[in-house]
Amino acid sequence: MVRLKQRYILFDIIYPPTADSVEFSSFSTSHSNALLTLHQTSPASISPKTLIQAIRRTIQDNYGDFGAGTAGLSVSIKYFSNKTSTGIIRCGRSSFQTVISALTLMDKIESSNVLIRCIHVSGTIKKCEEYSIKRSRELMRLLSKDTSTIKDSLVSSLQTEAGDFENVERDEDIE
Amino acid sequence: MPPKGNINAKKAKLYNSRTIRTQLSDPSFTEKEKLNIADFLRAREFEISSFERSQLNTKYASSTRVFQNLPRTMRRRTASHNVKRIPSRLRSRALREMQNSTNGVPPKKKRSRGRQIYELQVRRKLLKCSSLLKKVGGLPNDKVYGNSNIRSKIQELTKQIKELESSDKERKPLNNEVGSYDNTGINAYASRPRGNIKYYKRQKENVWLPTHIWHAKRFHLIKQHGYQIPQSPTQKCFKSMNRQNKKGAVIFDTSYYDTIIVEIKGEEEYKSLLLNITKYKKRLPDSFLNGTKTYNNWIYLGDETNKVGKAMIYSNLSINKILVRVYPSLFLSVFEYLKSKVQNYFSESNIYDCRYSLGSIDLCGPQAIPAISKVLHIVKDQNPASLKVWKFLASSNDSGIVPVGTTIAFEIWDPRLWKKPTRVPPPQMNTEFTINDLVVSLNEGNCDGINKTSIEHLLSSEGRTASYKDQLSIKAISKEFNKVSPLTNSIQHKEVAPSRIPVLVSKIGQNKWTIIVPWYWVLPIWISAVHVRQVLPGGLKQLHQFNFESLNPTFPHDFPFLADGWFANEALGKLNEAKYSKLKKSSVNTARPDFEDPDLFSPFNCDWTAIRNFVFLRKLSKKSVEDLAKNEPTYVRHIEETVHRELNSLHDIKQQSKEISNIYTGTTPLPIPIALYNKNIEFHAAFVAGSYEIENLVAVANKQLPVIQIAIELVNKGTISDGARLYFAGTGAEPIPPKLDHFYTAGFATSGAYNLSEGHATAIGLIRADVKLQSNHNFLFIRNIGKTTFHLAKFHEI
Repeated sequence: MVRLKQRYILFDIIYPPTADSVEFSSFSTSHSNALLTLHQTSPASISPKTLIQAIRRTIQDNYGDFGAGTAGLSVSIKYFSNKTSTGIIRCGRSSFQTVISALTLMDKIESSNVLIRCIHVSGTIKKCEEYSIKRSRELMRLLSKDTSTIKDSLVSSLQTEAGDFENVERDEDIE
Repeated sequence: MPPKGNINAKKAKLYNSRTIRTQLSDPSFTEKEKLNIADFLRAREFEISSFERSQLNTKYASSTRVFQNLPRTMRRRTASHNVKRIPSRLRSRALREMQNSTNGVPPKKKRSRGRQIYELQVRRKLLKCSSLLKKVGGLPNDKVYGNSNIRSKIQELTKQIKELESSDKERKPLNNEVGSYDNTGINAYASRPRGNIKYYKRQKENVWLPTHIWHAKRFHLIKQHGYQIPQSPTQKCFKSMNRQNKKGAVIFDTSYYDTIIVEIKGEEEYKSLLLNITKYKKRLPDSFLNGTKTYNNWIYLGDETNKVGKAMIYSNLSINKILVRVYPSLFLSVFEYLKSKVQNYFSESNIYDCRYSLGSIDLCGPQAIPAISKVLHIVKDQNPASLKVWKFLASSNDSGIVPVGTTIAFEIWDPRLWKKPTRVPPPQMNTEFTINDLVVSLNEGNCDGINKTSIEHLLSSEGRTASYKDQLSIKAISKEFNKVSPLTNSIQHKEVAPSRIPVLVSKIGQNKWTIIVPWYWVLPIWISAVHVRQVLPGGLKQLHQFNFESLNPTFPHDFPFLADGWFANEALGKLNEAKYSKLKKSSVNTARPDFEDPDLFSPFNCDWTAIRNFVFLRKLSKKSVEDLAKNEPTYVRHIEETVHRELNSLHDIKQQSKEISNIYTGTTPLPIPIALYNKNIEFHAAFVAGSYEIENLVAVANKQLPVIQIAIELVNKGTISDGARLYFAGTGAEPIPPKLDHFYTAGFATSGAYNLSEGHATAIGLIRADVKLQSNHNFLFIRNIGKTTFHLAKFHEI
């Protein structure tokens, strides 16, 4: 019997700040601030069940009945954590690109704005887990570094260079 | 009915293993919130640990035995019921597993009675007698090995033991307790080694290598050329060997290479013999004469045209000895030739057959010398030059800096005196002599890494016998190790085992080193060497693989113009034909291009006879290829029982080529249809220029088609298999695919496969030598046997 092959999609939900939100000004002060803002915990209304419903609805809206029939039925959630906003979706091998595009096109789940991005696709769940472990470790490493002074030093260096430009001669070719 | 509880428990276990736990968030927080750093880190840690736990759960959900935790290369087939085959650290778990299961315990052995017990006891007594004879210092004589029954063998042995016990020490044939002796033939063939009495019967037709038993447990062996040679490890190793050849070292037991030692006391005759058999015509290089470089090239028997194969020749004028090391199938012709030469010399000269007294170990890969240096411990109170050279070589990872032919000789202690491989101390940081200086001096040939005493001992029968003096058995060595504390790595060699082993190390190829040692020292060195982590043992197939991946031809497959290669090709054809004839008629497809007419152009191997016939018959017909293609086939005329055929068309030529072998009626055997192109031979030069002549049909059968050896690489995707047909690509600006007709075949690919080092399919093959006449670019078309597609490839001459 020929094997039915699956694809496991590792995704996470990120929350970039909008112009009218509180975190907008403090977002770019340091790396840790940016990361913490992006990777917030998801509201309790987002659960595996509601995620599946939202994905199926998006596929139905964008790909019609055909898409819903082929891709929508074989989608299932293997893991989803509210605290870290990451999850693993399983789908058939032939329709994984449909599912990824549906994830991208989703903008609301149960009246909360979401932004979903696909991080890794793999044929086995073990490799997805391994990739997520590697990624989490990298995130933890970035957070523990103290990078709050980088922005100021960059800005000051730009200011000093701007001062040098005042003595530049005019280009004659531009005339 | 099987108990249902078990199945449910298993299913539940499998199901539970697949769920991944998530960290529960506080139910009071229903909105998204930004975490602080500590909480974020904790959340990520929990996620990581839950992923890892789920992976472990799925692994252990299905039942595994303890030996399945071992890597593939350490598993043994009988480990499931024989606990001793599992490494000691897992043994207690395995025992517990076996106690619980009913199938794990092996069945009780039946006790033998009556006649069987008598036979077993008598066999045991024979072995005891032979080991007692060894201890007393003797070797079993021919009567023991003859066709007598066991009782008479035991009587013979006890008689010998009585004789030896009363004689004094100097007259004993053995000077050790393990049975090592020097088996050299002086001016005659050496007698076959008989080995242990226990295994004598199996060695009657094929000689066992010194490391045979080690290989028998781990390798597939093949009986060839009178030896049993390790062919390939039992596990799959194609990719791992390729990786090992790029980064580590691969070790081979090549004691099947036959060695001949020629001793000539007169200097003129010495040099003339060397000039005769090597490629040098007028002057021999000094480094070759004084033994600092070996010669690794073609060996000529007689005149320049009689190349038989590639060999390693080591010569040392100061001790008047030449060592010739050849592939076993060439041994007879080389030995007879050298013997005939040596007997006609005026000065005192001898020839020694050292097939069974000198063994060798080959090493491939960049880490070859660093790995083997961990095992060979040099005797320090000898010339410091060889030690210095050795230290430099052992510390560098790049063996490409050393020129091919570099030779070092020294004496080493018994390698079994060290428990673990130990690194050579690096060369002293000396600003006067660095590794660059060493490379320069090696390339110029004035570096002296040879220790004269060790070469003398290695190349003389007395020296080898002296190295076997008081050789320790494994039991004796472990006794010595028991005397000292269990943490020590080595035993004081000078007191315990003062035997010094003469060793010759030489670089014989781009990445290949060889180590020549006396026969009975090969096994101790081998056992220590395979314990080094960087080495993997290999066999004949791996040698072929390594040569192929660096686009070098392998003897004998890729040399069909030599006798050995020709026989290998013929044997392969017969084998494939036998396999094909066993197929059912319904599964045979004769509509394929090569299988329509197997008599005309054999689809089972490289049919060089047919190509030679086509080329020369076309010349005989005095028509161009275009004319022949245009004409209609003519009828055959029968004149007085001979069949006379006019060569007017391609069809005539093909039919005539089938009958060529019947025309020749002489008594001397026909020569091989192809010969390697040599510009000094008149016929070859005329062939390449296009001005050669063929007089009649007998000439067609007698002449040899000149061929050149090429390495082929595919341009686009595709595969090449052995025996693929090669076609020229036309004389235009662009390569034109040829017509699918056997007449246009230019040559064959003798070895073709996917090349892991290159990343695409490559091949080694032979084509007609008049390449320049037939096409003006270095492209070829390749067609595999039985297929119709042509693949474009480029080639270059080797």
